[in-house]
Amino acid sequence: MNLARLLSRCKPVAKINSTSSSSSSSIACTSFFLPGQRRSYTSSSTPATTAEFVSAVTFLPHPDKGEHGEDAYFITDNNQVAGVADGVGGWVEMGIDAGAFSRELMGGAEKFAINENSLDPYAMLNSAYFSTTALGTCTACIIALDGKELRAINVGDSGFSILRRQTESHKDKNELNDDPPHWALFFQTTEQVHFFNCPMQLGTNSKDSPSDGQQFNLPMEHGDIVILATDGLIDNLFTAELIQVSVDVVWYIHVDCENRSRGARAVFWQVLLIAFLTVVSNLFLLFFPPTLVRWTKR
Amino acid sequence: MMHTFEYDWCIENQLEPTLDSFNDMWQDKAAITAFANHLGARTQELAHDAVRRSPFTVNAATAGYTHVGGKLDDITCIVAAVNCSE
Repeated sequence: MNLARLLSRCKPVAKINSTSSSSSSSIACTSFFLPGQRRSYTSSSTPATTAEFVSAVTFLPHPDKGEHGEDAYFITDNNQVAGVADGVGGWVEMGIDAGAFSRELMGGAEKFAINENSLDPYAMLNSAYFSTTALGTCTACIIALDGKELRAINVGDSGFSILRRQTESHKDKNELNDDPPHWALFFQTTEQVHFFNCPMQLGTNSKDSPSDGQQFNLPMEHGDIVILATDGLIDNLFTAELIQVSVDVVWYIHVDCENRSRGARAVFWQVLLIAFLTVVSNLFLLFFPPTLVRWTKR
Repeated sequence: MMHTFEYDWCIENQLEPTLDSFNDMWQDKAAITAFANHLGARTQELAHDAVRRSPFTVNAATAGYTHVGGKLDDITCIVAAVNCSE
C-alpha cells in the first residue's frame, strides 16, 4: 500500500512531462502501473477553459401518482443546462394530469436551449412558458453553466444547493492527497411560496410568470457540486443532512476504491507467490528427482 | 439504515470508472451516478419515516399546521459536478 501511495505522489511529475511532450505522455504515465492503480484518462492538453457538468439524475415517482409522476427534468447533451419542474398536485382533483404541464414546460425549455444554443435560463423558461398549451401549473428551476458562471432561475419551491470543497490553507490545492474532502454549503436557494404548501407557480390561471422568479449568477469552481431538486427532496432533507449524505458518499467511494485496489494488489502478490513456488519446486524436482521407493515389505 | 452502495453496480453494468484519486472524483460519471442514487434512496427512506421531524414539519408548524413525519412526494434530484478543463 505504501508503494502505491508513493507512486501516486509521483504522478504530478508525469503530468508535467505530459504537457511538454504530449505524444509520449501516456507511455510515461502507464510505465509505472501497479495493479489496483487506475489510470486517469483526463487530458490536460486542451488549452481553452471550458466548464461542463458531469451529471446524473435520480427520479423516484410517488407510487400513488402514476407511472410518470408529476415531476419532469432535462439535461442537455452538451452538459451545460439542466432543469427540474414539479407539477402542482391540486389539478388531479379536477381530472387533469398534473405532470403534463411540467413535462411540456421542460421539453420546451430543452428545445429552446438546443435550438438557440442558449445559456440564458430566463429566456428558456420564458419561451417554454409562452409555448406550453397543456393545462396545469408547475414550479420550475433551470441552471446553466456559462463559462465558470452558473446562471439560474427559480420559480417556486424547487431549488438547488451548491456544495464546495473546503481546502485547508496549509495544504497545496493541487497536491494529490487521499484524504476525503471537506464540504461546505456555498449557496442555497430559498423557496418562494404564497402561503404554506402553495408555491409560486407557472401555468393556467396563475398570476406568476418567469419574470417573478429569482435569478442568480454565481461564480463556480472546479469540483463544485450542484444538487438540483424538487420539493420531494427539499421538504425531506435538512441542509445538514444533505451535506452529511455527500460526506457519506465520498467516504463510501473512498472505501470502495481502497478495497478494490487492495484486492487487486493482493491478487498480484498471490499470483507472484504461486509462480515463484512453482518455479522453485520444479527446479528442485529437476535436480533432485524422486526415486521410486517401495515402502511395503517384500 | 445503511443502503447498498451502488458504485460497484455502476461500474459493472454501464459505466467505466476513471477514478485515480479524490481530485478526479467529480469527473467520474460512475461516482456521480452513485451519488445521485444514494441521495434519492436516502431521501425516500426519510420520506417514509412517519415520526420524523422533517423540514416540512417545521414549515407546517411555522404556518400553524401540524404535520408529523416525512412528506411523500415525487423525488427528482439532479447531481451535477462542475468540471472545468483548461
